[in-house]
Amino acid sequence: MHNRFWLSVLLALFLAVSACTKHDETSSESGSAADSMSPATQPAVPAATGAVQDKPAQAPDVLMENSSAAPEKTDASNRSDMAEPEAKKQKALRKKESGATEDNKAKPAGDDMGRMD
Amino acid sequence: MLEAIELQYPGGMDEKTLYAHYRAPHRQATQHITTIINKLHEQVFPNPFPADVEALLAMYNRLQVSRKHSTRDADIDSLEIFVRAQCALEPDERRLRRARLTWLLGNIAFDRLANLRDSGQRELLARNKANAIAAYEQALVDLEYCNIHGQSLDAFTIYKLRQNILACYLNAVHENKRDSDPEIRKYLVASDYLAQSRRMLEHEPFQWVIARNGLRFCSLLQDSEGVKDFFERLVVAYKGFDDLAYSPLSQPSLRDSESFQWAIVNVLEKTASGEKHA
Repeated sequence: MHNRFWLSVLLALFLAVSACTKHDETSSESGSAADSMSPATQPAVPAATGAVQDKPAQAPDVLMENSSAAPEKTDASNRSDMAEPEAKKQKALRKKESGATEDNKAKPAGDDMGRMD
Repeated sequence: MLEAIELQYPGGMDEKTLYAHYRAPHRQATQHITTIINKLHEQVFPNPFPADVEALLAMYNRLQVSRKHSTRDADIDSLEIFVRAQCALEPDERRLRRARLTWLLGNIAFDRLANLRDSGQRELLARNKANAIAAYEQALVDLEYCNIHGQSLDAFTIYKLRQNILACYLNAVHENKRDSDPEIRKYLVASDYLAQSRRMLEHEPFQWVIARNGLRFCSLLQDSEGVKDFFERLVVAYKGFDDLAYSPLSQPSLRDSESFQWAIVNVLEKTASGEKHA
């Protein structure tokens, strides 16, 4: 009876240690939220989809980059992603400089004379 | 008068609202009140131009201020082509109609000036300025012919065209360069604009826009007496203008506008401080 008790304690400890070891191995590889789930609870869908489900507040493209299951991006596509916000910013600045924004169209600059009909 | 409004337009407007809109330039009318005032204005001052051209002009004005209309600029370009062709088709017998269509052509070119100036598109700016002035001058020729040959038009209609031509010269130049622009001064003197503005104000002293523009050009010409005169007329139109920080609807206050700085520093503030000491 006594031995059986200690055997069950040892078994429980072994299972816990092995589970922890397994978790460390997988999380060091990917680091995604989906991979940290136990195999029993992990849905049978690609890891990237699971990550989206776990973190709905984040933008999908950011999650795809973090996920190990996401296809690796080429250098060129990474560069274009990095350049996109910068290009948008420059475009906005050019529009601002040229005075062609919607706001400028709506409001007359300075104190112009209005036309009479 | 108010009973008549009530009879024609159920749910018309109360006396206080009517006088508030008549007196105060900063008040923005609701759509309902605008409709009533426009109808009343049409009854008292009947429009001399054909209704179909007026409808086209009204349509253009709505299109011009529309911010949600995604194809606005392209539609205006198309309208301009149509109106130009229509003007060419109008015979001399229909000068009044042709004059209003040409006026609309002038308006289309005029409304582009501010954006072209601010975006530094000099060639397009010069072309549109020339087109607007040419259209307004052609309309003026036709209307003066109509005036001489029986179809008498009120003096205010002719005045409006002259002020639009002057506005083309003014708006094509950046605000901080207007004082030194020779073309503005040349047309201002040649058109006798200030004397005509005074005449208009004798008939309609409530026209604060005319008084304000008179003050603007006297400031530009550094004419002290003119500044005093038009400022008095402006205050007669609405006493709120006595406060230089008063801002009418869609216009900056005198103090906030660069166009009035000479008048404020050299005349209006000196006069105000003199009155305080006295």
